Amino acid sequence: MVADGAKLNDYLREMNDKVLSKYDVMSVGEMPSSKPEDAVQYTGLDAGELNMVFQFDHVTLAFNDDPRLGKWNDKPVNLVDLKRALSRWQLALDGKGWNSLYWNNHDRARAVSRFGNDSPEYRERSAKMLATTLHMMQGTPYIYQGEELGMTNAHFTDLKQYQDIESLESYHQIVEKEKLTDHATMMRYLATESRDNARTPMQWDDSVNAGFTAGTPWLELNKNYREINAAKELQDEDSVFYFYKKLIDLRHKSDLIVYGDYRELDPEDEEVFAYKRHYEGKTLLVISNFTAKDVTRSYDSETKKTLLLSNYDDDLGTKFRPYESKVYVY
Amino acid sequence: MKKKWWQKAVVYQVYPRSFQDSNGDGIGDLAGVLQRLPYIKKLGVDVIWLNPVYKSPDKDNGYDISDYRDIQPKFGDMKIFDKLLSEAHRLGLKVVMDLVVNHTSDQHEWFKESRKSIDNPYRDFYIWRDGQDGQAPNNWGSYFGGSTWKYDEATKQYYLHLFAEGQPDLNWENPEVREQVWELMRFWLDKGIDGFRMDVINFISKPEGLPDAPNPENAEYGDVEPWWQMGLN
Repeated sequence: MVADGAKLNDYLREMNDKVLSKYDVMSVGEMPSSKPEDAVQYTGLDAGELNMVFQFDHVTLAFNDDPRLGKWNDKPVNLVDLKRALSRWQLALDGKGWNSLYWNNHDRARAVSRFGNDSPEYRERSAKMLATTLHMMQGTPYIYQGEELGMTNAHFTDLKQYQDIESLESYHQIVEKEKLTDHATMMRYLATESRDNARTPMQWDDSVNAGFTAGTPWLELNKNYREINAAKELQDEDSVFYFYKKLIDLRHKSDLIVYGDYRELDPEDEEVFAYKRHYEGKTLLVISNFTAKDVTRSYDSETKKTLLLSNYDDDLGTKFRPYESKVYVY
Repeated sequence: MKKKWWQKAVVYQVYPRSFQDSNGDGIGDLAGVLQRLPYIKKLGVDVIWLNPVYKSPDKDNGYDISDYRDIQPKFGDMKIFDKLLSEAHRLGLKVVMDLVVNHTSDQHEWFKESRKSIDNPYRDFYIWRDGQDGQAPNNWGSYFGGSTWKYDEATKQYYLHLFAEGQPDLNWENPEVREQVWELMRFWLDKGIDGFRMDVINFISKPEGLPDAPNPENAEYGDVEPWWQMGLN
């Protein structure tokens, strides 16, 4: 209720008139709790305010049942909710405003841990699946450092490992002061949602402190840096890094990916995120299995399609393996 | 639809503190980012968004700014920033900076002046209110825990901070505040940066009269932002 006050549009318009419009620059406004209707005004192509906003719908889906605990929880995100959140922004801003696309940032848990599966078996596969699902949408994609390596949550087990003011203040308030939950539960919540999950240092290589520093890092490194690091991925053409590179190249070359409209398929499907994009007579079909099991799905099965991208080596048609994600064009 | 360069762009977010340390103090810095530009270029992105690198007491990892026109010494200085910007541009990478203007640090000159006296010229740069019967002016709870109001002994009023105590909210109703913000934006844009990511920008306009927030659970503080109750279901 403190957000989106009555004069916000005036302030943003003044900012644009007096400053932004004088330069060829981009602007993106972080807007917790903003609704698509608001964002159409802020980012409207003729509104003269901002180019795009960071909306929070898809990163605030699994709040605690007890509202006093707010964001602190360890529940998985429900796929139908996630699809609804992302799809409504895709639809609302098409042709009217512009979306920013992100899974995570310095204030969020790591994407592969929160929306995918960070076990060694599925980490890379699900990181690529998530990347495909987001990068084929309409909007400007944001990659948070380390996401392109499939970096995971920190999995800290001791409160002393945390540095983040929000995490520490919340622990104090919730566990010590108001006694809303116990230490062990709150530690699970922090391991799921703390901002420090995204802030552990970048993992460059398998040397001491992952090549981040020759000194003592301000925040402990993730213990998995010997397995997950940039040097390793740069030598593996099948790595998450090169998969992101491919997605970026595809976007640069395709107006269909940049400007195409958006239609979600089977919104109530609890296992698969599928959607289509259309632009100047061409169709892009994106299908992602969000589960660790095999599923069978069929979309436009009679149409001849070209496989544009996949996170597996071969195409089994209607069968989708764990976290398999495919993009067709036709 | 008129096509814009940023519609085709992909952005890479750099959190400088955790990206690359170049001097062994354990904290990532701008020289570290400079060193890693080829890696970012190799990924194929178009734009780098740098989280705050401004001078700050670092109560909230740089989101509490004490000087908008200077660089956090832990991260380097203006010389290295300029070098980073020109090297990024040479590689064809644009640079977008964080703009944190819902609040400043309590160590910002504006706030140091503001808290001195009720008639200080900077008093209205921030949101000061009298208490109600020895209590805070309303029931808002801060995002970082506790009340959003901090009592300041010097002038016996409370100031508003939606985030930490060290992050007093700016008073956007004051046209002088807005002019100062436009000025600092021009300072960076004239250096050649390619845009801004604006921190909690929809919080700059506060609700008229700063009314109490709903408090259905009878918690210690009202719920300033019940976003899990909004919209989706």
